[in-house]
Amino acid sequence: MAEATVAAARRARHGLRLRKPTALEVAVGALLALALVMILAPVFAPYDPNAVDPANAFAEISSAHPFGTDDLGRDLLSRVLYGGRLTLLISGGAVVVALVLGTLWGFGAATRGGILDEVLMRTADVLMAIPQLLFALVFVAAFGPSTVTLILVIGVLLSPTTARMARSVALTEMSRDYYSAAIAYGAKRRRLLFKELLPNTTTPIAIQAAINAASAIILEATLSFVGLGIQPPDASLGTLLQQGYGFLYQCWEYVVFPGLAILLIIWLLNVVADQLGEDRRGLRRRR
Amino acid sequence: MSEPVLEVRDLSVSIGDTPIVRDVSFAVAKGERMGLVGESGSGKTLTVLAVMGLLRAPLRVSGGEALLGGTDLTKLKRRQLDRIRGGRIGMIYQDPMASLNPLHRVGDQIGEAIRLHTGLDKRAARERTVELLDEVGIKDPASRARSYPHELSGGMRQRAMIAMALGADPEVLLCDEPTTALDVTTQRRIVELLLRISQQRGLALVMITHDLGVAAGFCERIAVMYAGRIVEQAPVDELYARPRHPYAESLLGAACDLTLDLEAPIPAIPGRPPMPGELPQGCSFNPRCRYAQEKCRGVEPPLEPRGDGAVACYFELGSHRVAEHVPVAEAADE
Amino acid sequence: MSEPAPMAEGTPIVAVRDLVKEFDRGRGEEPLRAVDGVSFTIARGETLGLVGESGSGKSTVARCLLRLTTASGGEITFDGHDMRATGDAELRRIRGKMQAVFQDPHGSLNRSHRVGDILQAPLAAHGIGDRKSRRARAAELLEMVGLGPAMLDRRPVELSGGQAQRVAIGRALALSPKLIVLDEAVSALDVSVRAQILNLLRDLQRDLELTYLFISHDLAVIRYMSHTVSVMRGGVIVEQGSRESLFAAPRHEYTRSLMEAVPVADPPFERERIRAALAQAAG
Repeated sequence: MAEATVAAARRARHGLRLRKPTALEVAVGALLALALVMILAPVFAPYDPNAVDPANAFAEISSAHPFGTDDLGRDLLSRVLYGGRLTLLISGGAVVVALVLGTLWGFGAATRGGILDEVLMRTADVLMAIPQLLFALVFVAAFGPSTVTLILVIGVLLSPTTARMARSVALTEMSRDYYSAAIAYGAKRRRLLFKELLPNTTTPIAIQAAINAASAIILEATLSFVGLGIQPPDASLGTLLQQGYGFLYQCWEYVVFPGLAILLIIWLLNVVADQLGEDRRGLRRRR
Repeated sequence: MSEPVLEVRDLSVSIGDTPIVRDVSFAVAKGERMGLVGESGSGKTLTVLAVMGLLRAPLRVSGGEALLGGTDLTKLKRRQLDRIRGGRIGMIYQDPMASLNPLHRVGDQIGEAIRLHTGLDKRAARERTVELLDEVGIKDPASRARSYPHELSGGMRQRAMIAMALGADPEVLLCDEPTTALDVTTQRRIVELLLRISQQRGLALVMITHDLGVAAGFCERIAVMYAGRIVEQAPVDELYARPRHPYAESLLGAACDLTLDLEAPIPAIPGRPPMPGELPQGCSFNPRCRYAQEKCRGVEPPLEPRGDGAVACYFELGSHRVAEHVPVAEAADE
Repeated sequence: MSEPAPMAEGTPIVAVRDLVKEFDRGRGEEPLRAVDGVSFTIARGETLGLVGESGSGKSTVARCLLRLTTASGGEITFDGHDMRATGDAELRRIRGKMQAVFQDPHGSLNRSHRVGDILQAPLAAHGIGDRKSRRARAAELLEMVGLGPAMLDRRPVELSGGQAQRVAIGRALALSPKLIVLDEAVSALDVSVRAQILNLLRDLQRDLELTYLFISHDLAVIRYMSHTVSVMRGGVIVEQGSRESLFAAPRHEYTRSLMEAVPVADPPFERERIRAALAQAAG
C-alpha cells in the first residue's frame, strides 16, 4: 500500500503544471510529423516523382535536389516522400487489418474457451509456420500486386501474433475479480467483451500495433525488394531500396536516403512501443 | 537499554518536498524484539525500506540517520551497502517470493546468500544451508534444499526465506508483515520460530505488522505509527493495558478477537488516515480523535518521553490533562 | 422454464447437499477434490460463517454457489431454484438475487470504469431503467454504503481499500439481492477499516433483511458476523453448529486448534501461550 501513498504525494506535488514532455510524447510527435509530411507528399514534394530528366541523372546533392537524382534524373527527395506515403499507406492499412482480425480472433478464443480456443490457436500456429514470402507469393500470384492485395497479405500475416497477444491479455483480465463480479451480476457476453475486457486491454493492443507497424514496413519493403510489391513507376521505400541497390557505387544517395527513412520510422515506432511498455511495467511493479 | 545494535534517529522520507515519513526515531538492542505497528499509509514499510537503502526514486531519505553499530546506512555508497545488507542486517517480507527466485532450487539460493556474505566455500555453504533449514523447522532439510520454491507450501517458503536471511548471521532482522498472508495456525508457528531464533541467537528483531494480536505475544516494545510519525512508544504490556495516545487506544478497541462484544457495533475509528501532502493542521489524528481540543488543531504535538516510552499528544489518556469526552463533529465514515 | 416451488415459511434460502467439485489434473493423475461432499443450509436473514484455512475449499464452495464454476456433483438450491439445472437465461435472471463481494477491493472493480458506471452496470446489464434513474440509484447506493455522491466520478485507483470495498458492496446491492456471498471480504483491509465495514455489513443485513454467506479464515470475524458456523478443512465440513454452541464448546479438534491459534491482544497471555508451545516443541 506504500504505492498509494506515493501516488497521492505525487499528485499533491504536481497539480496541473506544464512539464517536460515525456519520451513517449516526443516519439509520437515526431512520428506524426513525419507521417504528415509524407502523406502530404503532393504538397511537400518539390517535383513530380515520376518526372524523368535523363540529362540530369545521378546529380549530386544540391539546393535544387537535396537528395540528388536517380538513374532517370528523377528527384530523389520527391521519390522518398511519395515512397514514404505509399509505405505508410500500406503498412497502416495492414496494421488495421491485423489489429481487427487478431483482436477478434484472440478475444474470441479466450472467451469461448474449449474446442474453439484450441482450433483458433492451432490455426494461428499453422499460419505462423508458413514462410511469409511463400505465402505472399501465392497471394500476389493469385490476385495481382495491387496496393489492396499488399495490405491484406501483410495484415493477415501479422494477425496471428496479435491474436496470441490478445488472447493472453484477455485471459489475464478474465481471471480478475471484476470479471467474475460482472458474470455474477448477469452481464451478457457482449458486455463482458466490450465493456469489461476491452478498456483494460488497450495498452497491450497499442503496443502490439506499434510493433506490427514496424514489421509491416519491413515486410512491405521485403516484398517490394523481391518484386512482389509495388510495381514501377510507383515506388515505396522498399522499392527504392531495391532499385537503388543496383546503383550502389554510382549513387549512394539512392540507397541511403530511403534506407534512413525506413530506419527512422521503425526506430520511432519501437520507441513508442517501448515507452508504452514502460508505463505498464511501472504500474505492474507497484503491486 | 544496553548498547543499541540499530539506532534510527529522526529519519525522514520524502517525495520531492512532500514528507511521507517524519522524524522517526527508535533503537533496538541485541536480542530485543521491537514492533512497528500501524495501518496502511502510516509509513512503517517505507521507514524500514529507508533503513535498508531500498527506496526507489522518487522516494528518498530527506533527513536523519540509521546507525548500524555506528555506521550510518543512509549515507553509504551502493558498494558498501551491498556488503552490509543481507550480511549484518537482513530483511524478510510478507511474500516469500520477494526473496526466492522461482527458477532456482531453494538450497542453491540460500547457499549463494551465505557465500556472498561469509568466506565459506561451496561445500561448507551447502552444509550450513542444511543446518539453517533445520533450524527454521523444515523437516528433511537435506532433500528439501533441492526443492524449487513452488514445491513448498506457503509456510515452508516463509521458513526458507527466513533461513536465507539468517545465512550470514545478521545482527538485526527487519520483518515486513511476515505473517499477514498466512493461515492462523501457520502464522503462530512462524511467530514461535522467530521468537526462538531471536532468543537463541541474540538477534535483534524489528517486526512491522498491523495485527495487534501477533505483536502482543512477540514484541517487547512497540512503536505505533500514524501519518508518517511515531505517535506512541511503550513496552508492550504498558501499551495494551494503558495506551496513552488516542489513536493507539482506538486501534486496540477496533481489533477483532474472540472477546468482541457481539451485541454492539465494533468501536471503529471514523474517517480514514490522511494522505501525505493532505495532513491536517496540528495533530494529524485530530479530525478523528474523540478527545480533540482547540489546541490539537494548532501546533503538532511533539513526541515526548513518558515513563518507559514516549507519546505525541497534548492530552494523553490517563493523565490529568484529559478533558471530558468532548463531542466532536461526526467525521463521516470515510 | 418452471416456476420455483412456493417457499414454505422457515425454509432456508440456500440449501446445499453433498456438493462436490473436482479439478482435472491432467492425464494419469487423480482429479483434485477441492470440495468433497459439503452440505449446509442458510436461513433467511441470517449469516452462515464458513471458516477454513487456505486450501480448505471454502472459496470453491462459494464459486459453485454463484455458478462461477460448475459443480461436479450434489444439489444447490437457492430461493426455491435448482441452481444446477437452470438454463442460461433463467440463470441470468436469478443472478441478480445472489451477489458477491470479493477479497481484493481494487481487483473487484474495473479500473477503467468510474464508480458511477460500476454501480450502474448491474442495472444496465439487465436493461433496468434509463440513464437518469440508474444514476439516481447509483447515488442512492453510495449513500447506503456510507459514501458521498462526489465518489460517482472517481476511478477505483483513487479510492482507498475501504472505500473501494464499500463500492463493491454497493454494487452487490444494486439489484436488491436476497443473498450476498462475502469471500474474505474484509481480510485485505486495515484493522480500523475492517471494523467500519463489518459494522456496515451488520447494519445492512438488519435494514435490508439480507442473508450472508460469510467466508473467512479469521475466526474472530466469523464469530462476530455469523449466526451459524461451518468449519471446513480439506474439502469437507468437520463441524457445524450455531455460533453459541460452536464457540462455547467446539467438538472437533481442528476447530479447537483453530480457536487456540487466534491471537489475542493480551501480551502476558500470548507470551505464555508461545512459551508453552516452544517448551512443548523442545521437550
